[in-house]
Amino acid sequence: MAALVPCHAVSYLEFQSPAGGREPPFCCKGKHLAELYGLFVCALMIGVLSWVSWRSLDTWPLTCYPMFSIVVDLATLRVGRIALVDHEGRSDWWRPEFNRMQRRVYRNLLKTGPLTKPAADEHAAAERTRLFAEVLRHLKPDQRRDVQTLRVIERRLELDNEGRAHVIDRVLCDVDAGTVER
Amino acid sequence: MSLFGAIDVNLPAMALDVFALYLAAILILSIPVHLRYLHARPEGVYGPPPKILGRLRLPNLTLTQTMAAQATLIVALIGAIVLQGAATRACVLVALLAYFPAFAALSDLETNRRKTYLVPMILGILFLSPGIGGEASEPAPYWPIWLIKCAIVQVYVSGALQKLRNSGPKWAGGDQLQVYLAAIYMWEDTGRTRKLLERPRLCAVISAVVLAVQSTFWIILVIPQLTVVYLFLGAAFHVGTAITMKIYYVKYMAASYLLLALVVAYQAGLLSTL
Repeated sequence: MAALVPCHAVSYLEFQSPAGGREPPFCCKGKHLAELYGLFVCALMIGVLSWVSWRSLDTWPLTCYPMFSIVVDLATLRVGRIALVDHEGRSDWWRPEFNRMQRRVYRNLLKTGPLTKPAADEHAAAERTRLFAEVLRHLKPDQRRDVQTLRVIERRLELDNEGRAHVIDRVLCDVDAGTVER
Repeated sequence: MSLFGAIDVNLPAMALDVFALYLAAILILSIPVHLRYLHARPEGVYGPPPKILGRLRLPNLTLTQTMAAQATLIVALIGAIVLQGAATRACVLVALLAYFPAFAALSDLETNRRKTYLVPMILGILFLSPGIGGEASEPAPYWPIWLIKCAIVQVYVSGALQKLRNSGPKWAGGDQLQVYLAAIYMWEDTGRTRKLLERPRLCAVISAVVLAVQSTFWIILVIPQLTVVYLFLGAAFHVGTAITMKIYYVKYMAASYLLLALVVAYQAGLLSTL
């Protein structure tokens, strides 16, 4: 008996162990059961993880971690940002504390159609107004007091022959903050 | 060492203590930022919380409900440390169940999206582990620790698989990293990001190293002695993405890395004296 290890078939079922699972008995059969249990849990977990990775699933909390894997071309890469323009025409970037918020606002704005044109229908127009109102709501009180216009800017980046980065900005639309608040 | 046999110390119980202690501490420290985020009512921008496994949507929780779930998670983690026997396992189960409502409304926060996903995975493995309610000196099987390593390995190997599937080996050429850095620079105006994206050779070297490390991370499962090497490489990778890309995996991944450190300590014989 001395060569045998504790019976983990009992210790893993601590709820049912008369000894509270603290001092499991020694037995041969239990050892095999415990090993089978371990084998089963390992096979199940590895199967799930492999499936998620192989099928490129991206759910919560099982994901294939696809970050940086989607092929993007620098020539077609466009990024959107929102600038806050005050009464004197000075502009500054909107920098929300939670930086993904700006990306998501821009992504949602793009869903309403080309931002260089008026919204195609009432629903799109209402969604745009709602999103701009969200931007205003997330401004600090002093920023909100000063802002006159929300300016949506599309950015692209070019690398010159010496490898230096140049950002080229294009204004997509200006939105009167007062109109949004009303 | 047999994978399914017992080892001389209760590594799963130690892993639970380390993991729960770190996670409880980081959750307590995160209360102010979580409160600010929830006060901002982010659902207006991000929409409803994600569905669990893409199927089960939790109801929209209020700030109070989310913070109550966070408090439950913290208490359950502390309970898992201080209690013994079946009560430990019950606390792990409560923590596992509380994770979902605790993070549903916070899932789009920069430090959380995909970064906390290992938490329920590791809690689930620990819940199924023999001996987590026992003393540190009791013998216990090694497979739960090996399985936790599998979950950590999946983060990197799957990341490499997706890159290779979409771009092939040319991902290591650095062009894709440069493009992603360009996007981050345009969003964030960070000088460090710009400096890196303007150095294509450095981008290529970093890409090659990242792809090599990610695609070979599985090796720690078969050659455990290399765990310490990959522990440092992985930590360097996450610190690097935090500095240059404002991608904060460190906060929650550190809990998993502490478990790798525990394995390294065990391999070095530092735990057998306990």
